[in-house]
Amino acid sequence: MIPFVDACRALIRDGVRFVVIGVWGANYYARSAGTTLATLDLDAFLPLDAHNLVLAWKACQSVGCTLWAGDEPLGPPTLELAEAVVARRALTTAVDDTGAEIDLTLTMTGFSFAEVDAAKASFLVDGVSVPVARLAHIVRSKMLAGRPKDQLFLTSHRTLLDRLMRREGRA
Amino acid sequence: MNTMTPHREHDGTGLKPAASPVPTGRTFDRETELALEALDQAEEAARKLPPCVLDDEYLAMIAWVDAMPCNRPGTDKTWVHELHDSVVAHFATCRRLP
Repeated sequence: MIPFVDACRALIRDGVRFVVIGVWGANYYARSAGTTLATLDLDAFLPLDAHNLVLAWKACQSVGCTLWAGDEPLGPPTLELAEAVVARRALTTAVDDTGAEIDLTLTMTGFSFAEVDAAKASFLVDGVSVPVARLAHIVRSKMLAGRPKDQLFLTSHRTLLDRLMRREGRA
Repeated sequence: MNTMTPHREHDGTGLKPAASPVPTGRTFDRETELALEALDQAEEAARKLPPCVLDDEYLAMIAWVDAMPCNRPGTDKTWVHELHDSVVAHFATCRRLP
């Protein structure tokens, strides 16, 4: 079993609309291990759609994940609960038995789901076609978010790309 | 893999509760104190980084990476997950030598 993949497979199987963003998303564009950046969780960006969120929760549960809202276990995945979560744009998290975490986020700084979804790429992971945000969207969102860890990501990422280009003789 | 940050990554609006802070008033063993100090220093260093700007050069690099043959739609990226798993497994089995 590859952590995250079973959950992605279940999300796709159940028709959940999502796009992978964040550092995990950026890592899909890496050419090799040396151009990836460490992260502990996978960010799945979902539209502001309570039905879709319920599907996502149930899909994650179907592969053994437990659901969390912050540090509290999420209650039964009902439409009413999902509507409240969507209204607050709150984050919920699915955690599998290996500790792998999938953040089911309803926000991506600077972008709507429709924008990111329309331009997404799809990569194959263990036979699963995983929807991934375009690298330019991921990077721009991090720039707009502007937290110290986003700046750290941008600085590290830019350095990696610069090094890769020089190695390839493009700079 | 570059171990850039031990913190949880999230692109949301801050609705996720912050990572549990180290309780104040508690004392730790010297090794733990040193590790916590190192984390504090790393966080402080990150704050002092000059802002990374999405200028034309960076955008051109992103466009170049996006267009690489290894990033064509449908490319197999299973290795990204396998790499992550191997790193996690490696650190999970690390033990300090006496």
